[in-house]
Amino acid sequence: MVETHRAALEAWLAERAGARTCTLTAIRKLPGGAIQENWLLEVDMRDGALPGPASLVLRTDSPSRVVQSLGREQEFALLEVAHGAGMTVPEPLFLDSEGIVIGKPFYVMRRAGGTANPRHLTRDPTLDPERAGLTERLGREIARLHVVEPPHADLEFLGSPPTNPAKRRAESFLEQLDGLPDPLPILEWGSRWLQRNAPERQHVALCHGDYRIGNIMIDGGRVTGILDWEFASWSDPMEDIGWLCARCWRFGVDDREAGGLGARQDLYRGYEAETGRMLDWSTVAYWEVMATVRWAIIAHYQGQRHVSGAEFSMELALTGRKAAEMELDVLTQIRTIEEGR
Amino acid sequence: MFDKPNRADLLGAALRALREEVLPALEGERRYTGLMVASAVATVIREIESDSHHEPVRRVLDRFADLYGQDNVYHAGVDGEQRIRALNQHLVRDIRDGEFDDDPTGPVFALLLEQALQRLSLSNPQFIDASEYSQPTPN
Repeated sequence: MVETHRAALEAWLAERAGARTCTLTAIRKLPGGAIQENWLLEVDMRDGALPGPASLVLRTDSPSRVVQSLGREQEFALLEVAHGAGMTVPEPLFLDSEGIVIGKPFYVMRRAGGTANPRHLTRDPTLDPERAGLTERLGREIARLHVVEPPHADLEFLGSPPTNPAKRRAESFLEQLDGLPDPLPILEWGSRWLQRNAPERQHVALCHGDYRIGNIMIDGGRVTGILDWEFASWSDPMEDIGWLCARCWRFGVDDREAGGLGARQDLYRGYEAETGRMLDWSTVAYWEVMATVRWAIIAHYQGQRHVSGAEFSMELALTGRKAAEMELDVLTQIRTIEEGR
Repeated sequence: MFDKPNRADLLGAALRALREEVLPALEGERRYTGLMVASAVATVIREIESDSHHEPVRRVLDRFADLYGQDNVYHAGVDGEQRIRALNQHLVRDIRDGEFDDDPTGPVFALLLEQALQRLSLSNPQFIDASEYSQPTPN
């Protein structure tokens, strides 16, 4: 659908970049993206801020959106903040918050090279010599984001920071469970446990909210861009660590505990090297349970999007059935923690 | 409906043809979609097989009986799936009310575990044995 607005898009890009002309030499929808659509734009501009050929990405909503995800305008603001904090993100360029050009809001950013494909990143043996360095880098990257603390003038849309992020998150699970048609006792039980076992010591900073393999562009041994900012929030930084390390986000490569990419120790080392101090990682196991419950609830919602007829997708349909895997993991993880007390 | 090959035979043949003849010819996104179709068909075949013996439903109801008593299970509905749904509605209320706070890994845990295992026996039996997350995993 973006192709049908080619002329309008060219004119808008030229105006925003202050270019004399802008030619779109290619428009192609990028694969993946159950929640958002990403389009590759190959542009060639004369003069202005982006002279010559460049690869850009246009990001906009997919036909149906998921609960609690941020809009394009907010995502754009987050990218600008993360970029300013020194995190490796695709440079945010232009925003159409009104949806004038293609009929819905979108923004344009520079294209990050490489791949985010989890199957490749977790299993390709040619990446093995790079794994330690890449995983340490992931620690450094997220530590840079966690330096951003509330309040922040450009991030007011994130609302007021919670005093107890873990408890607030667990409470939001109950609301989400109430919005699903079937009773889900394992997730109810997991949420209850999370509410009652929230860590005493929590810190509040800007968290990405979906920091995992699949949302991180990697080119050889280099991180080229952290993507997908629609779930960012003020939370405990350990939530991002737990999400990355939870078994359900290791893509079946269980012994590489940092997202299926590398060793947990490398991740922690990179994080501590960036912050310049030792950290208490003891709450990560708790946050991994949080991650598993959260992904299970999202999976049920994605299945529901298919069942309700809102959107046909083989992937969404299967994701609904995948929730049972996370649910067994929730039971196992909590039992392990309880037995270790 | 009485004809042979029956629905399970036909789906089994479809799955085998898909895996042996179609999937090897697919690449990239199409192969990914093909793998998902194969996974969905395999799940349906397991569900058709389980319909004939009601094993997953019976096992879950047995665990419910341990927790709530046989009478309450019997009166919860007219068929197995309806009973499980009604009993689960009751169970989630009890959990939210804090009924199991003192012993979260006690008797309620056995029931929850049975439900997870029986659902997985249909959707992804490998997860029970090897704890392997299904592939392909959505991006």
